[in-house]
Amino acid sequence: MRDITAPNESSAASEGRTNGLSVENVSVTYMTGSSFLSSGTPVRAVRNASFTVPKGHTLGIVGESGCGKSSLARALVGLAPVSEGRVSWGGQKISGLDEKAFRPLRKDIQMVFQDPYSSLNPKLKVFDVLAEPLRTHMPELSRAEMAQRVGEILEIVGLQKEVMTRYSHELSGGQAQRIGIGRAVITRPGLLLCDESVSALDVSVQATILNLLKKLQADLDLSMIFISHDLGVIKYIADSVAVLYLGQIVESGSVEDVLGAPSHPYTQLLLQSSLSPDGRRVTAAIDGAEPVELPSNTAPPKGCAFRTRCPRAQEKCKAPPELRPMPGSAHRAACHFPILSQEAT
Amino acid sequence: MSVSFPSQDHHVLAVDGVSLSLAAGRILGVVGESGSGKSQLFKAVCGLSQGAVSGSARLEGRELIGLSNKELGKVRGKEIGYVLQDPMTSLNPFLQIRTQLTEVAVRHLGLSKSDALNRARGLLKKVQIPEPERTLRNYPHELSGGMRQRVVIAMALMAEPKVLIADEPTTALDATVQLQILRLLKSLNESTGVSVVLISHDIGVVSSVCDEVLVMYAGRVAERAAVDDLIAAPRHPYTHQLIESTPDVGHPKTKVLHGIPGGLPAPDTDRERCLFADRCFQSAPVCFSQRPSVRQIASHQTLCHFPLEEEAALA
Repeated sequence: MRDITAPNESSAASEGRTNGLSVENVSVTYMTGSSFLSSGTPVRAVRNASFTVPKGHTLGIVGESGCGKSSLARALVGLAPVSEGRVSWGGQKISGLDEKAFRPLRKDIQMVFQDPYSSLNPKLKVFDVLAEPLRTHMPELSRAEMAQRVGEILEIVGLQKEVMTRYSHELSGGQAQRIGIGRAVITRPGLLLCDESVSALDVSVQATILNLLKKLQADLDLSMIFISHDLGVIKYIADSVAVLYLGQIVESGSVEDVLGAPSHPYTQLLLQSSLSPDGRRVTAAIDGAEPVELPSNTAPPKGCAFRTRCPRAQEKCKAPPELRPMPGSAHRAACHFPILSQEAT
Repeated sequence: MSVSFPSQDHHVLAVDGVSLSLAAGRILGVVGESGSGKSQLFKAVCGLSQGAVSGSARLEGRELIGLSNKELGKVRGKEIGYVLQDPMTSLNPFLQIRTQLTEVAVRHLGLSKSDALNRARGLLKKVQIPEPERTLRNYPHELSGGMRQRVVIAMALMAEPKVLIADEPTTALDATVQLQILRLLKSLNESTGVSVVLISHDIGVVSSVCDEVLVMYAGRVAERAAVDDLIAAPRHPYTHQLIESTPDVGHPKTKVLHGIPGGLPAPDTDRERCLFADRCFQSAPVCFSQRPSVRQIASHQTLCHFPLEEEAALA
């Protein structure tokens, strides 16, 4: 399997494969509509995903709602079933473990969620929110050591000691997310998963949280997976990116390559839909350009799943494209008719 | 216009003496972060505010504040269309789309049922719903988020309103669908002449379709200007810092986003001062002791003691 996430550091990447996260041909399947009489229809939320995240490296995962990005993240941390394939962390297989077997790994693999309020226990004061992972994973620490660690982590995430005695609902959104991050890194994990962790925040606060995550990532040499629907956020925080469409990785490589000169028409569509203050102004709809609905992920189109929305689709697209290296660039795309770098706009 | 909410020991002023006008046929963007008062302002205009509203709002010269609920109901259905973030708050889950759309036209325009149905069909086409006939028979849950939002926009337009207020209409939608909805608002504005107020927390969304933009902070208008002037050379430090905090996939990878440290002032803060002063990069003592007044600079109106110079804003 070729390494897709660190195209320019092949020797470092082979080391990363043992030290970092490695995902090989992973599928996540849920059963829907199951009842007493039938076991339901399988929905493959993620199909055949492969990538590596070397130590100290940030992988961004982008895609629209329903593309499987959260299912993938949850599968990596043992919260969703991996039906096929293999996930390993630091050389150790971590997929297919039951809850009990996974528990010791949670110290090293942590997650920051989207909504800081609903992911923090409202009955606990901030001190206990932060101390809880220590009590679970490092019971050998004395009370004084715990208090010291909590104090340190508050400083690291940029909060005053006074917040320790407050409840999460007494905090602002930015403060609460800082606590969510503090709770995730207090056990000094090696892998941090952020699932839309800044999406619920105001822009002025969002930037400060992104900067905090960047700093932590560098200081703690974290491997990080950052899931977002916002390409601007991904470009800012990630080193490499995987674009997901209906459960499949359609393009991957370094953020500069993929977001600077996309090969896959879907990546290009996402880029064209990305709005910014000094970006282009939207003009009225072109006549006849009817909106195309996102196909259902229970029955995605056969062959290339994007062909129903793709302006470049041809007969050949009824056969599934393979994720392959793009000529003249360092990234990979799954497309029969990729956009070549000279025609990209 | 002011809107206040009673609280235990003080009044919370959600909207603090805001004045604005919207010319017919224009698209006005209102941008602000949570707690800026952007939604409360337009709820108050339409008589939907839960708070105590003072001041005046006129539509083509007619005073709206103080109208009876019955009269306000007519204004909301017929003259002002309202589109909210979650389309399901505007749709009845138990009724077919056709029933919901035709009801509006029968009540407010006095159309017959068959005329109303024709109008509904035409509007669904206009909001680019691929199969209007089928959609008319659908229930809301059978439609995708983007399609539901199109139906709500069609419903808001059924009675030919003069103003369409869209409050975060694309926030719950994917980027590709968001772009379609924004294009749709632009094309409806061009083809029917309806004035549009687009409220959003996202300055990228607002600047992509609006003629003019109003930036709100802590219940006040920090700045108002033509969109290109506002983005290219903001005069209020908040506008400048907001633009500088917004991630943009077009930025070089090395560009640093600074964010704005701190948060909104506490609700009981003395308001005879600049409310942004604590977070501002250039605040001076006067900002904490004196309320700024509105200054007109070129096309900008800005509420700041020390408006940015053009060069400073560009730097």
